[in-house]
Amino acid sequence: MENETYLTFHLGEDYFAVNVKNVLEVLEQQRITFVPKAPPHILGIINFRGQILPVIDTRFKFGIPGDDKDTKNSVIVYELKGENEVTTIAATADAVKDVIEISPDEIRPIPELGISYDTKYILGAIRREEAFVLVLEIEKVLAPGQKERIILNEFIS
Amino acid sequence: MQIDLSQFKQKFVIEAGDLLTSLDNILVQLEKDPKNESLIGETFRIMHTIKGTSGMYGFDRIVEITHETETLYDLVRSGQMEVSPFLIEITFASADHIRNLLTETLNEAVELRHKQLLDNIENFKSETSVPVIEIKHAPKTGLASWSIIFYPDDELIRRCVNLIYVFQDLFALGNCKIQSSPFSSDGTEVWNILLITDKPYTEIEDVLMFVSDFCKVIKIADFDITNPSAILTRDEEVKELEKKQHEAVRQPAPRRKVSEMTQEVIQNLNNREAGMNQSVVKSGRINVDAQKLDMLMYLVSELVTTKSELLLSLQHSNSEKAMGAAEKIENLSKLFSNNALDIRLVSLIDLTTRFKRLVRDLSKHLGKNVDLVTVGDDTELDKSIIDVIGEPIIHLIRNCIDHGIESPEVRLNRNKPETGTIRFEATKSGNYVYITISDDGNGIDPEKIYQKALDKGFIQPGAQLSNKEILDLIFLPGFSTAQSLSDVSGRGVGMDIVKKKIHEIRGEISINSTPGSGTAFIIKIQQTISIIDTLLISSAGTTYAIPVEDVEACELQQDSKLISKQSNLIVYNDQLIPFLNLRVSLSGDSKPQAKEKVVIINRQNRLYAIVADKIIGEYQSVIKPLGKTFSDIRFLSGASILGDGSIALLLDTEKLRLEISNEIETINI
Repeated sequence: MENETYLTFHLGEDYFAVNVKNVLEVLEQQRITFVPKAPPHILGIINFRGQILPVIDTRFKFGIPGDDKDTKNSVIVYELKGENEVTTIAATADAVKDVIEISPDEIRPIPELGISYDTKYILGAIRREEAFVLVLEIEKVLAPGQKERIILNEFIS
Repeated sequence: MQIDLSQFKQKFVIEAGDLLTSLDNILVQLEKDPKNESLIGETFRIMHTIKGTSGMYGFDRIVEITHETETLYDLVRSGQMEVSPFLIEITFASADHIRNLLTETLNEAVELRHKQLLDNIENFKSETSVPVIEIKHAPKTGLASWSIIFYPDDELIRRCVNLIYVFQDLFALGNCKIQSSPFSSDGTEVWNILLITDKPYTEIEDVLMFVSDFCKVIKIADFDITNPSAILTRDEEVKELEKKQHEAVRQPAPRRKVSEMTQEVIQNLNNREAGMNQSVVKSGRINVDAQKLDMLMYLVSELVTTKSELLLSLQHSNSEKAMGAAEKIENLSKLFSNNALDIRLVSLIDLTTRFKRLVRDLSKHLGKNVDLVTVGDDTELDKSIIDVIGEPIIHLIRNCIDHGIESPEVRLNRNKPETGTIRFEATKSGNYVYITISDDGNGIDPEKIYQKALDKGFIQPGAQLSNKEILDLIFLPGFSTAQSLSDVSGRGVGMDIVKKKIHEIRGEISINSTPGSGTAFIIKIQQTISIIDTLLISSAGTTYAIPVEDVEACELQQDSKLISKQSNLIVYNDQLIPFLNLRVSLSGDSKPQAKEKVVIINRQNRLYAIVADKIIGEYQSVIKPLGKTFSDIRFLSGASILGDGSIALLLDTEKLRLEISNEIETINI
């Protein structure tokens, strides 16, 4: 099977990878406009090429403590292909790390136990430079209407 | 002129085609997920929508098919039938058939297919379900063929008669075919219209009232001449009759033989495309492709944003020349965008003409006497809004005729005039247009609605609701007050869709009703949606835009001590008015500021104040949607990108007022 290209970023202590076919652009130090009374997982909105996009608070979603507003974070703009429509949405990351090639058979299933995230959003894990990188199913994580936090056990992190 | 007529019909054909395409997708999904109620509901609604409009445009065969298919899905919805592979099959067949009916002329093969399909549905229904629904077929008897010959000339153009409406009305009388043909020898243009209808001559005369000087109406047969078998059997009789007429009356001038005329008409029908491509535009109007207008609007909005960017970058420059030019550009871009918005404005007359037809047909069909009174239909709205509101308003009018207006007997008993009245009123106020559709009929009894909502489980027993809240229940999906179903206003689809459609264009709908004396629906919509003048303010680091027309005054500066935290009231012109501190209420930050800026909002003569940190100034905002994620935040109606690329949030002052009145109520009690 052919290798696929992934973008990796980190949030707190953990590393994540998303398929680049879903990534439109990475924005650094983007000014995020606060929207009053927005749902808690929404950080605000940004102006992306003249289009207004909501920004998802990824730390909140993954239950990682700390305030995104304080970190000089990056915003990743994703394009998600749904059944009938294409959604463009932005989400934060602490810092974008790398673009890597991953061979599909490199991705190992992850055990239900020993990980603090709901595994249905995670395709699997790979090992890179002595660290685990969790490969995300980003369509599921950022699906419109998906408001629940995807952390399972808030005590482990 | 003819290009207009074909466009009119084409528009419906295109719309129906789109609906059928989405139906295909839905059916494919439904086949995999036969219990999915929203897919079942969607199928029903598509059939219902096509039925409603095709009837108005004279596609009688489509009305029959959609009515039958809709009935099947109604049985499914009420649990009397299940979605089976055969049902899916038959729905696909219906969809394909409708597609053909939209484009093909009726001929024997099509008619045969039509009958087979109807029989199939009928058999299927009786086999698989309890036959509870009686289907009404309009009896197709007494059809006659008429030839209407138009001699359009400059005089007709000068009289400013809009032929489109005449043709629309003709179309509604029955099956209508039009073609241009070099009929007369001197080369002047002549249009020939073949009309197959069961309506009497007086109705045709009514339609042609204003153009009677320019046309001739000839009855060519007492039967449908487009039906070939009927022609064969009747042609002989016609010839006989004609011969007798010739013998009895000596004609002063030789007239064309009726049978010849019939032949000619049929021949013209066969090459009807020939005349369709001619475009005749003699008045000062042109038709423009809507896509070109959309592109223009997009370019205008980009220009307005770029202009702001330019002004911002020149702010600190010392070049007076550059500043002067930039100011000119600002003025020009303002004129340009206002002009572009103006081009998109369309008067409501196009809609009300359709409504008149609808009221006439429906009231006759239901045996009621109804007059439609229109007031202010020269009010203009953005084309994109007109395109959306037509359908929901048609639904409201149908409801008025079907459920609102009583039968003549009942009306007389209630000491009301025998003829009911439906009023369509449009008024403009600032950037908003209010459309009221009211009737002087039954009214809605809140107790009945309450009981029904209780029965259907929409509300809990003992729920305390105001009359207004009860009336609002009719906008819930699946709510219907009709005792029996009719093919007019349907079976409970509608009011929820009406509300949904109006919300799509950021409009609002409300209902007023007095039992016994009538019901009124009030629709409030913005006249233009894309570019408005706003006042920019900022609070806690967020920039907000307020429509300028909602602002009463903004230069006020009040010491924070004057703003009483206890009463939530401030003094303005010796008047106490409520205020909303954006910093506290929206950003949740109660740090007091040394100086607060106050903007007085006047919305429908109700004053309130918005307290902000800073008043930035006027800005021409290009409104962009915030998207689904924020649809619950009703007090924000969009966003606008500023010259420096940052974003301002557009406040809906009416919704914001409700937000503070909630806060004040809890304090005052």
